[in-house]
Amino acid sequence: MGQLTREEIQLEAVRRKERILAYMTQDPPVPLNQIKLMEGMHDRACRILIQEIEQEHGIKYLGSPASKTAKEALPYGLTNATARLRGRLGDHLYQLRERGNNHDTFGRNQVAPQIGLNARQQLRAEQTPFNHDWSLSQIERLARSLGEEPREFLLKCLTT
Amino acid sequence: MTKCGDQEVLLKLLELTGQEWEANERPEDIRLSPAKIDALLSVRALVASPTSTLTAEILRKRSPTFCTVYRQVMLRDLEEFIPDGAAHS
Repeated sequence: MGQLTREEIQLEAVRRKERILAYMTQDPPVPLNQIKLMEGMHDRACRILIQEIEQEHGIKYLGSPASKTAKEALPYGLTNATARLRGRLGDHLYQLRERGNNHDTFGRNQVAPQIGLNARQQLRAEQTPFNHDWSLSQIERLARSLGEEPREFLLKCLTT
Repeated sequence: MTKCGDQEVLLKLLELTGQEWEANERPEDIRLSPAKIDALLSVRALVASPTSTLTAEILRKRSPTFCTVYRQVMLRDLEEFIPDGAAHS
């Protein structure tokens, strides 16, 4: 592909704006993540362009539920088996935290670092478990914190 | 299978996929499916690759329905590549 002239680049910019406007105004609107993918744009550049379009056409898109990807949708390539496993791990994390809040030495704040999670990841793993992508080291630490052998613990989570 | 044979199979599959999507899905719905958009972008990347023998012209000739669906969904032709910075020129 040869070097484009300034006029051609400007024409492409106009076409891109028209396309993104069509994506934003279709029913239901295309989520922001999907628009970025389709246009091959970085987050910041895409948001700035969408803000321009919002101002030009008097529409509200950014921040609206339509611009966000559905939370219940599993990432590409994953099945309900992963969602079930994440749910089980979330249950065990909740049990560990509750145990700490009652009488054990672990409290709410001590559980997360012990598993290798930060506070935000702990909340996500418990409250929206399908969205937390557990690492093997976190699973092993969770099992050991619960006093279980990691292999047996993971098998139990996968089969129950 | 020869390289030429591989391309034939790919073109047939793309045409069948295009027919399936055209018959059963609106472009608006395809835009909401990350897996389908990923498939469309993969074909575009293949056409853009300098090492690939698959060109937009071959694809238009042998998989016309797929190209039509691509245009309806992405609102541009397969050979249209957006230059960096076009949005803020």
